[in-house]
Amino acid sequence: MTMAAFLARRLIGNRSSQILGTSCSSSGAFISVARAFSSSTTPIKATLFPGDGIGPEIAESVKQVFTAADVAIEWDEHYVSTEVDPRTNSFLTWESLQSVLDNKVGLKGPMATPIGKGHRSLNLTLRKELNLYANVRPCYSLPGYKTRYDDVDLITIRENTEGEYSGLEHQVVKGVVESIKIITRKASMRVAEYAFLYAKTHGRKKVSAIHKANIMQKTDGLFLQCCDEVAKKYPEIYYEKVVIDNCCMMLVKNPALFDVLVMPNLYGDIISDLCAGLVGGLGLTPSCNIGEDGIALAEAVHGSAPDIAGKNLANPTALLLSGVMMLRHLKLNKQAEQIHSAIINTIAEGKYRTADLGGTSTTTDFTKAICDHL
Amino acid sequence: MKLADGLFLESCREVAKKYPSITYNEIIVDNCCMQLVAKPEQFDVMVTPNLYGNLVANTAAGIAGGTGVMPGGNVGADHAVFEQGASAGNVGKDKIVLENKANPVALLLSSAMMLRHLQFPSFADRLETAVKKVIAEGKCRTKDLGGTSTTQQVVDAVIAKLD
Repeated sequence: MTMAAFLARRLIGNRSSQILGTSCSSSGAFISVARAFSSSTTPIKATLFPGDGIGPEIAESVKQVFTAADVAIEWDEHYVSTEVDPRTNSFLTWESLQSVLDNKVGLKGPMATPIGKGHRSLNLTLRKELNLYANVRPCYSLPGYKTRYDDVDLITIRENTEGEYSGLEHQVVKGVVESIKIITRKASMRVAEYAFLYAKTHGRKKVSAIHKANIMQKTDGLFLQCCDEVAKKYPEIYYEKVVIDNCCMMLVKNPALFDVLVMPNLYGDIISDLCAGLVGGLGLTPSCNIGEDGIALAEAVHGSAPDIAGKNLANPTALLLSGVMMLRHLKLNKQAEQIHSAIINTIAEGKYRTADLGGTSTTTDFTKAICDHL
Repeated sequence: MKLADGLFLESCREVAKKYPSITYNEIIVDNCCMQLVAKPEQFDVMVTPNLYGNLVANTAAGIAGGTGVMPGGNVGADHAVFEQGASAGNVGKDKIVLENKANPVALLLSSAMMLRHLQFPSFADRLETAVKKVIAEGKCRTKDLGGTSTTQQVVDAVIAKLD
């Protein structure tokens, strides 16, 4: 740890865990401390990937709302290139990746994966190069947008680097293939630590580890062991273990039973989408990917919707809410709350809604309504 | 999982070709779960590999009423064993047995499936109709369906409704 960070920690004392917030490693903590001490007029640089299709339009919404809310963020925009960059073996350039590594925060719109071979998928590139190990998705019922479930308020935290998605498959003989699931102590501890820290810093009461360790005794068993270990360090947080099939049933019968869920990769993929379905779909769902050294890349998880691109019809809610998550990660809680309330109130009011929510407003009208609500 | 699930899909496609009158489509499992909770009526028959089937069956069962009402069966080349369709989180809890509140509907409907498998469709129909009438009437329901009846009371009601 550098001298400056050490002194900072001593100065802050007991409040360090609150200010240093969600980052796990010491260098990540140092970044947050530096920001806490920086003057409020110095804008924070954040990488912005508007993405494809409706991406640029909704990114524009985010910029407008953030400006209206006086958020001191300087956007460092990057676009997906049309050619493969040999340094990254992907359509994302080396400069784009460096930008996120330097700025430590980013916001990403939907990226259409180009068809073809000989390059890595965009999401895979980001995940590997930025070492994004946890995918965090808050799911809560939006007042004013009715679904069959009114009382959803949970967060899914998904391990994002290994598990069933390790990419290790091979054909044994024709008609028989094997897929290898890898669970490591390192990755499981890392995501479990993040989950409990998140629960603590966000005032959540319960963490549920989702598994199928009764069948996959070694892999999910190891994951559970790691969660057990971390749980012991947080006695104030209620910890439970739920088998995944039970979890699915409980989620559709009574989602209020859950608070924070932590899961390995595949279960996380399925459960986080299931939860998105409970509250209204991917068009409203924010998410944030956490990397080592305090990196956070918030992203809208919906597709690029090429059929409505450029027509001013897109719903920017998912990207806006993801931007709010980014602000919270940066500890700009006051403005995060302001923008969040403005979005919720606009949707609740019902006067300005985009087509996917059953309304007739354009993207720009909806954005303006949110700015007015600030 | 391109190879593993890829092989599964290839196999489904091959068989689908032999049944041109049946609509066949494919859906990624995470999207499927999302669709299930938003609009379950779009699905009819779903065929899945092992793990996904476990999750999808439980999700669907939860949407339709829970472990207490969903029937199921396990079919093999030579034998078939019928049991509740979705995993019961309360398996092996003696305390619940003593309370006599378990819902017999799931197992009754599973036994109707067994009767159908044994080619006794009229018996199967009679049993299913009786069970459905009892549930629809709403007077005799166990705790998981929001009522206060005991297991025996539900069984007696079903027997009474058999014609």
